[in-house]
Amino acid sequence: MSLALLVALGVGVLMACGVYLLLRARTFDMVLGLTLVSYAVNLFIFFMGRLAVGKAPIIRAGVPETLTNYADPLPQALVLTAIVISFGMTAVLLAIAVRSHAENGHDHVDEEGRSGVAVDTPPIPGRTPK
Amino acid sequence: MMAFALQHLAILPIAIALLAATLTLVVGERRLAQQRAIAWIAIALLLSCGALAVLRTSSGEMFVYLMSNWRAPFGIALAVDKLTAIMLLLTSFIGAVVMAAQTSSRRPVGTYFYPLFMLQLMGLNGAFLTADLFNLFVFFEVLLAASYGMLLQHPDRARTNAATHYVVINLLGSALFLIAASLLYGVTGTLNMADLSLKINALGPQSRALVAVAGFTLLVVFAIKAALLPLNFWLTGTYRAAALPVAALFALMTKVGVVAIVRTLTLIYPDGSAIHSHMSQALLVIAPLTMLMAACGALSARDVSTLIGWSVVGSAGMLVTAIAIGEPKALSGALFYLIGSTVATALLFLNAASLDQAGARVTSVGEAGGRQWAWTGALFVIGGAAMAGVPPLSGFIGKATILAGSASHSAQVWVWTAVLLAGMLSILAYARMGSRLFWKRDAALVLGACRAWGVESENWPQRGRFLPDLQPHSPAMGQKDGENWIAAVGLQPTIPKSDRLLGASLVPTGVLAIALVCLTIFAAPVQRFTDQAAAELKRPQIMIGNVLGKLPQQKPVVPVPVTGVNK
Repeated sequence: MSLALLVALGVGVLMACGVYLLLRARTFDMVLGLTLVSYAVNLFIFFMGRLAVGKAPIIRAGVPETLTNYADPLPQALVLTAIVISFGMTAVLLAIAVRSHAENGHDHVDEEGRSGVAVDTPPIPGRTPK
Repeated sequence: MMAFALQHLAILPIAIALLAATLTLVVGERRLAQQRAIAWIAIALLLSCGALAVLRTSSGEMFVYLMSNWRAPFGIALAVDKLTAIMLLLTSFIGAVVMAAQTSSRRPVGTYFYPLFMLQLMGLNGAFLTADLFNLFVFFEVLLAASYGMLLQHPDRARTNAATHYVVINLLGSALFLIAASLLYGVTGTLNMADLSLKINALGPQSRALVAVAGFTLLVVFAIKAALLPLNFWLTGTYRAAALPVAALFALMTKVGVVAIVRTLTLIYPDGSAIHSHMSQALLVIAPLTMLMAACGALSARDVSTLIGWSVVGSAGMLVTAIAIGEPKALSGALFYLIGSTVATALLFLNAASLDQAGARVTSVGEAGGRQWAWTGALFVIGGAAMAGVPPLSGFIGKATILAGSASHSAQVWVWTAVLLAGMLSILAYARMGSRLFWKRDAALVLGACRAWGVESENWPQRGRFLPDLQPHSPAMGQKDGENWIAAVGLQPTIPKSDRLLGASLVPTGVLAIALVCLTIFAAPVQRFTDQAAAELKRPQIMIGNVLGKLPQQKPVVPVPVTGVNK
């Protein structure tokens, strides 16, 4: 029970931090936020195969093939797919974020920043702000 | 050949598109003619697959394909029912028209256009075909990843900003999808939609809450894709920023969300369960509100791309309303309306593209009026009428069927009010935009109209802005190629040499207009098919029986020589 509580809290804290960062509406924060969200989701998928200590998903001879004796292998396969996809998508998002900073001169996700006022961001070293 | 095609009908639309995407990559970035040839061959094959699927399913057959010959709940199953067949044919048709538009366009294609295009088709086809929830997620990701690339063709500031919003909201949607899918797996131990339906039905009351949470999370994800009310703000900006032929292909993307909602409400949580009624009640509030808001948005749109974008939102609202009503007749009307509205959206976007091309000519000649304008104007009227659901065209037939199907429903007053009011408002919006664009015929205003298309015209007057972005990105390109590229892009005459070029851009739109008219004339056979499709959807047992009852192919067993000690 305490293990389940710990795991649930961990997933929840990761998710909350991710959502908070997403709402900051700056590209770099959003990349971090989405990464945290995907961590939370990946852990969640993994734990949906039930928390089991000391069980392998590999079938051994003589042991009945039920989930009481083995760990569920499917969530592990699912989480692998999800990790790969979220990794690739984070790369895409980073590329877009860099480009967006180059185009706009700031890292706010809205073109002009909020209410049409240009957002002040520290300039990139070695480059004059537009 | 035919037997092979029939046996593998369910996997072919995915395999062909994937193979074509790979081949276009292998051929190389510079050999555009070969890439185009491969893409056309693939499109032709996809079209014949779609037609074959429609023909064969109309006789009541359902094709189930077991990947790697694993039995259904264990392996991934693909299924072709009537709804899937419609969507396959529609996807390949819109794909063909977009290809034609891209071929006839004077604009050079962007980086990796053809591979991305093929991957997009693969993702769409896969999302329509799959009968497995996690596989649906994977195909969503395939089509989204391709669409990010398509959106960022010829990237400029507007496109980059739109892409940021679009990518982030879709990644968040994917995270929610994963949560819902794994929650369902955690409770039921399966991801096959047919098996899920059975398992959910057999669940005890204490697991119901979890399954309901998972179901509503799924609905939120699909509502993001279909652009339902609180989750639709990404759509207009994205479609406005996308290159117009790409936007025409995006017309299919919201439909993926709609089809997924259909599957959720008819297969995973079928009629009769408590969760189903909660879901349809929620959707019956949201979807008509989406329609009304879209109509207001269309009325306030200042440029055509935004107007079409809001119409896409409105049509999704209409479709989901009909799905939530759930009567077979409303469902059939929804499928009919889905075909018509997708074709009309593509027509409007491609028409905007051809006007955008023609615009440069008219402004630089300094004289408005001419046959191109008349044609694009006529096509705009056809598309607008079909979109708004004005009587002669197919949009009206679908809408009337949906209204008739909801007549006996308890929410009839609310649904009818929303549908009719939204229809009236969108007629106003199209009339207003059309008169602004086509009746103010003097050169200065035409230039204004070109700006009003909401597209940074590739010809005039921001032409200079495009040049830096059009430089080749690929390091594989040599100096000479780069010079040729610049010469082709930068020094191209702003005024096309002949009307033929502009006439060519009217061909794809013309085909779409003819398709709309045909859909109206041959409405009866199409409606018979959608009626059958709706009846099939209302009886999920058919799908469940076919998917779970499909036996793996028996292969002749080759005896394996036993070597050594096998413990």
